[in-house]
Amino acid sequence: MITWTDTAKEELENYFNRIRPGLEASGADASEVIEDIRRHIEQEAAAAHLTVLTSSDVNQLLAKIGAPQPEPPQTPTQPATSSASEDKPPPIAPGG
Amino acid sequence: MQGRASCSESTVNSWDVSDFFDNWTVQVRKGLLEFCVLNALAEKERYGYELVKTLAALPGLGVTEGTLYPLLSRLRVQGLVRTWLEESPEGPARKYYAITHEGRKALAMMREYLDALNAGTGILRRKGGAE
Repeated sequence: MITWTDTAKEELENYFNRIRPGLEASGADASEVIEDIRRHIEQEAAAAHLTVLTSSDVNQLLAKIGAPQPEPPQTPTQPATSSASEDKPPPIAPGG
Repeated sequence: MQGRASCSESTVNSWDVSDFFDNWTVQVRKGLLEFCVLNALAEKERYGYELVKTLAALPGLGVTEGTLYPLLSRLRVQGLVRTWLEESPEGPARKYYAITHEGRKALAMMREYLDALNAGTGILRRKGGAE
């Protein structure tokens, strides 16, 4: 049984809040992926025989498994554009 | 024309080629991920942690563990894999993944396509001269 410190829980929830929009935009079930990553971290901790999980442990494990999607920048550097329009192929000219 | 060719070549250095190759492998790997997942599950059903560790350790695939969970979720949403939870005496419950009938059909099509592509590129490589 692994005990999570309060800061470890907070660290992980903050991380999930950051990646959720990217997951939702990707076509994946964001809640499912978040539970999968939570389960993966618990299995990593169990494999490492950790009984208490600190925020430092959480950060190390998150760095080890890698981000599921590129995280959005903290401050926007350019005007936001619709991701849906970015995914659309360019229009084909008639007769082209 | 001779001068033009030599001018172009002078702008290419080893960094450019390395950069080009890195970008190219990113595109190739991206397209092969689903193929690798379905192949791994065609062999046997696996629980997520094991599946992710296996794929992340695959030489050349260069995928991180975190990248695979969204991919697995999309494959489930598309009906190509199915999942279920099982209790584990060694830790948290394990989420198992298995390929579906639709997943096997998709995998067969992907294998056929890649075989044809491999044969086609093989012809070009032979014409170009193997190094």
